[in-house]
Amino acid sequence: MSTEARRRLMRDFKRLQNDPPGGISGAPCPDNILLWNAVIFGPADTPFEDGTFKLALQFDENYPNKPPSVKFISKMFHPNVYANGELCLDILQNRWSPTYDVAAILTSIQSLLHDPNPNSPANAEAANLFRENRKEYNRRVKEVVEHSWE
Amino acid sequence: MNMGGGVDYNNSTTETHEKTEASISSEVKETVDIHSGSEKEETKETPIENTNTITEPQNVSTTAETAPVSSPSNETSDTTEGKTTANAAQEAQITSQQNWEYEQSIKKEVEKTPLVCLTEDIQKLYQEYEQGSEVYRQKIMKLAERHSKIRRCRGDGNCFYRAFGFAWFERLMDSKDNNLRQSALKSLADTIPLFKEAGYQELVYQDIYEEHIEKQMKIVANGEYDEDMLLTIFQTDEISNCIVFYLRLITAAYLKLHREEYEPFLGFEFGMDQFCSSSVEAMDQEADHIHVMALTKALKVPVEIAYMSGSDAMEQVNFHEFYPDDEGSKGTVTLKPLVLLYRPGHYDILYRRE
Repeated sequence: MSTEARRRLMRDFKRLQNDPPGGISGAPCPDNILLWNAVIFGPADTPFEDGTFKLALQFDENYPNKPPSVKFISKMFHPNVYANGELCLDILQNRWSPTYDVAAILTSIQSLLHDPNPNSPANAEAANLFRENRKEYNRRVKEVVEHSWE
Repeated sequence: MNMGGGVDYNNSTTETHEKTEASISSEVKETVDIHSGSEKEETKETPIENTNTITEPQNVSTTAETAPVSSPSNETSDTTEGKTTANAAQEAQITSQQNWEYEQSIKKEVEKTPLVCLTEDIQKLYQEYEQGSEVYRQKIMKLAERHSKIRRCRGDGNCFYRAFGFAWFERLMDSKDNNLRQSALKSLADTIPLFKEAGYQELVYQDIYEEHIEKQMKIVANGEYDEDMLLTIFQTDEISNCIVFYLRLITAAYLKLHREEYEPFLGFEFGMDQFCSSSVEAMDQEADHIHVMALTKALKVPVEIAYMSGSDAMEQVNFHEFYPDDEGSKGTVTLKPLVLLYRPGHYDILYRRE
């Protein structure tokens, strides 16, 4: 396995510990530095507030030339998150840049929570509700917030 | 996809013309339409790339499809790992799946071309257009008067950076001039403080510089490479993409540090930081005039680009010269300009007749 990917992930980890952006945390599994667990706290003043959403990030030896695959482990209700937890987020796909580290990835996902793109739906129901029935959308989001505490 | 930072800067319109290759990239979806000839504006960011494999002349243009990420022009552009969910609408599922498959098929086609190819006689370029545009054939004949060979690069959106990197290393390798080589090493070393000043974290550039960039340039500077070895380096995904990324980072850092000068070239809706993250730092995103200016100035490497378009207004191929400023470079040794060939959406390397 590439030692470069390992070294870079260690640097990512150190940065996340020394200079953690608000509302996110993450760490590699003790026995596998390529697999990370992370938590994103729902941003305040959004329907996701108070949620503690767990994610898994799977890196491979091509990191940071290639992005990790990222998915929500916690149940999520969001226009850009598929039912299996995978995300539709440009920086994890066709706008990936090796300038992103784990902190930047998690921060982007956090801002996706309160700033969904209903035109690029991964969850059509969530996208429709977000556009047409915000009250019901908020109620459904509230459900996953409560679910995230379990 | 299609979330987050957008890249619809309209400053630099270029001509799209008849051309021989189908110009496609992983981003181009179903908007490939065929025109016959006349000039046409398009936003330059549309990632059109040559595959060098299709020989029917066609004019390919893409517009809105690849444009603004923050306000996507349609609802069909979500693809994620080819998977859609059970609760996604049936329609969305089909489109998403189709897009994914289409992107994959293009990607596969593009990947048939090595990242950097062996040189070919310029006649090969002519032959591409034998069934195609007369204008192109005339221009290639003109081009062939002064240029003998072409070296193709893969049309993956990184072709400018890769072509630049290869041509630069090769020029240094061939020059045998130790002063030139040492000053290239110094230009690269001088980029390190730029990154810091532009606000990049050390983890973004330090390892890449130490492990790959400095190492490779030192080998070049020591005259230890021949053409085959250089080709091997540039055909190896990992190293080749590190070099591409590093050149992207230099471009972005330079643009950020000269934002007053370059921001007017961007569309009104984009600031320099957003522009850099979505179309300079991000891999596979094409380079435009502004990128070329920044990189050549940052590294003080002169470049000439032959712009070949299907416009019959000019019989000659138009050369654009990107020479670094005189200021500061006085007294330093000068490198013979790298020569690149640009056809709408794609860069290759050209070789002058001696």
